Amino acid sequence: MIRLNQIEKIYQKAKPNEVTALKKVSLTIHDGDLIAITGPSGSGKTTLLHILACLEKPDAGEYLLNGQNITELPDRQKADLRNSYFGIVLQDFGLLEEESVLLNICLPLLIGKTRYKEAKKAAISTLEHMGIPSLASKKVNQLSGGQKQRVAIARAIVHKPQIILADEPTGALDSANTEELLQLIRKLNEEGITFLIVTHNPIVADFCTRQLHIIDGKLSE
Amino acid sequence: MNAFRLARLLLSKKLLKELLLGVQIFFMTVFILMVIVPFENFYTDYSNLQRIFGEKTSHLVQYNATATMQQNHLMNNTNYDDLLDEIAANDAVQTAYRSCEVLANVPYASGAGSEPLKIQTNFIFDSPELFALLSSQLQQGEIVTEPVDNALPVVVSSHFAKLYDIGKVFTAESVGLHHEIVSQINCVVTGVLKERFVHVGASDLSFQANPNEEALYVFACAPSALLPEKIGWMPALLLELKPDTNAEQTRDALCEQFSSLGTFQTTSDFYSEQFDYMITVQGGAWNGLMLFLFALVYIFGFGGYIVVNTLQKRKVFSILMINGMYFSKMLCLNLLSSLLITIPATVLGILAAPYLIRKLAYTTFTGITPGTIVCILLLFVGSVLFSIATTIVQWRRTSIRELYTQGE
Ligand SMILES: Nc1ncnc2c1ncn2[C@@H]1O[C@H](COP(=O)(O)OP(=O)(O)OP(=O)(O)O)[C@@H](O)[C@H]1O
Ligand SMILES: [Mg+2]
Repeated sequence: MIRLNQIEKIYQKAKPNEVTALKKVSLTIHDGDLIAITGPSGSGKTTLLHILACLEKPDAGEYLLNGQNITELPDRQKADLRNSYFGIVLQDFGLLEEESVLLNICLPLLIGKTRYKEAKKAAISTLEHMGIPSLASKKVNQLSGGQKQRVAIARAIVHKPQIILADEPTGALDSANTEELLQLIRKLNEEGITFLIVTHNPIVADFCTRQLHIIDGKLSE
Repeated sequence: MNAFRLARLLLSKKLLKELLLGVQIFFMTVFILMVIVPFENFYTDYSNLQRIFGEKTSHLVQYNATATMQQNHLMNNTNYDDLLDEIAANDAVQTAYRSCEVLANVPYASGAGSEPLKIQTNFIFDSPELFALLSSQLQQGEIVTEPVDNALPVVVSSHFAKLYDIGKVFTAESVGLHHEIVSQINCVVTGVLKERFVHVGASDLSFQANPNEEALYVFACAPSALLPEKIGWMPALLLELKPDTNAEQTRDALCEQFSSLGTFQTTSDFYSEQFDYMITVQGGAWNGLMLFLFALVYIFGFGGYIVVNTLQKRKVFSILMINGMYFSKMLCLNLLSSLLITIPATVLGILAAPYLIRKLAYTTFTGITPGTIVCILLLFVGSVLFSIATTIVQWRRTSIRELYTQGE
């Protein structure tokens, strides 16, 4: 369970171009939630996601993970959280373009000291689970946007995280592919993985069981 | 093994770019070695001297006669033995080392039927005390002072040993100023000196060996029953002082007493002069400045390249961080990835340097020694630390999100 209490994020603090990206955001995420976050461009969705993923530090407020305040945790332990507790899908995939799909998917496991042989096995079985085993040996820069999107998701789930934070995971998909992806998300959600999905797509938002809205850094449910 | 797999991700996919860094480091290594060599030789000579004299190194005073006296000795056989005895009689002196150098021809190949071809060598007679000092600098054999089968036992430089090795007998003809044969000496080689040695009594009685490894040196102990006449010692001495004396004071006293008859130098006088000479004019090059500049080029060239490379890897770095890599491990990986290129290039540079530098006909180059390796390693580590420090400053100031969006 995650609790955010009065989180604030200010970019370029004390400079003329200062931006308050999040304003006193409070939020509770329960295990098993399937949450959609919608909002106009520049409203702070990605910022919220990055704070949840411990990629950025809030300027004020509390972040409780299973009751523990983790805002002041050392970088190393935050990195360990990203490596085990979270699965992260970035807005533009965050894949190593010149490497193979397989290696990209292995990354969290290799970083987490899993042996390459086992990491490979896990990556292949994840690809099979998602119905795209044929992509394994391809290079990422040979893939279509939709394929990259799936690879990014495969990487986010390969290490069996508790919660997946996804930034626009259907942004590059047509409606048929979006539908397929939603089925996959449902399946994974039923297996117990919590989802928090940033989206512009009303179909995706409706599909989720909770809808959050963010405008100008302010969150509402 | 994961570390290598991940470090590889930080190397550019463009092999040429990585190779260029390798080539740059290769040549910088060669050049650094080249400019370090005079310093290294200086150090080697000094430590050789210390190995021979130990604590007494600081209790040596060297006497060199005036140029005119040296010429008189050489050209007119003028004998300065009385003067040398007088100097050696100083209360502070424990041992006076003497030597004398003559030119001698040695046959090196037998021409078909005719006279054998001869080559000129430096034949040096040492007083017994001086000759004994060579024993610790032999790479092979031993020093012998008594005649062996009616032949004069000699020790030779390593280059000379290529002509006559241990056990070989040869006849040396000492020649006068007009190439006339003065005397013939039957010699037997009993020892071979190390490639670089200190002879604290040769020709100008320098503390230092002639670094020219091509030189052909033959050393023998004098006087000897086999030598026709009394040796005419060079007008030069190396004085080893008694332990409870002061080298500077003795030098000053001797200077005053024999003021018009040459110079007196302590070990540190000699080495500071040598050092000044080395860092300024030796070989017409400004060794000190060169070493300094090359070290800067090395650190900024090598370290700077790693820094630039690292900056270009921002995206990969951020992707790894997002997937759970933490900062210190990231630094290690980054280091590992640059070592994958820089270590092989440095090793190749060290291996190729002796060959390349000799090809460039840099004659004072005497080869790679542990000392030069230490120097190059220090520079290597310095450059790596420089690049790590710069990387830390760069990365620490930037959030992962910025690294990701700025990358590529
Ligand atoms: N490094 C930064 N420096 C300054 N301002 C920033 C920085 N990162 C984000 N911002 C600003 O913070 C605000 C929120 O950005 P954020 O990326 O969270 O928006 P978003 O809701 O994800 O938008 P989009 O739908 O376009 O992805 C924006 O006004 C953005 O310009
Ligand atoms: Mg966004």
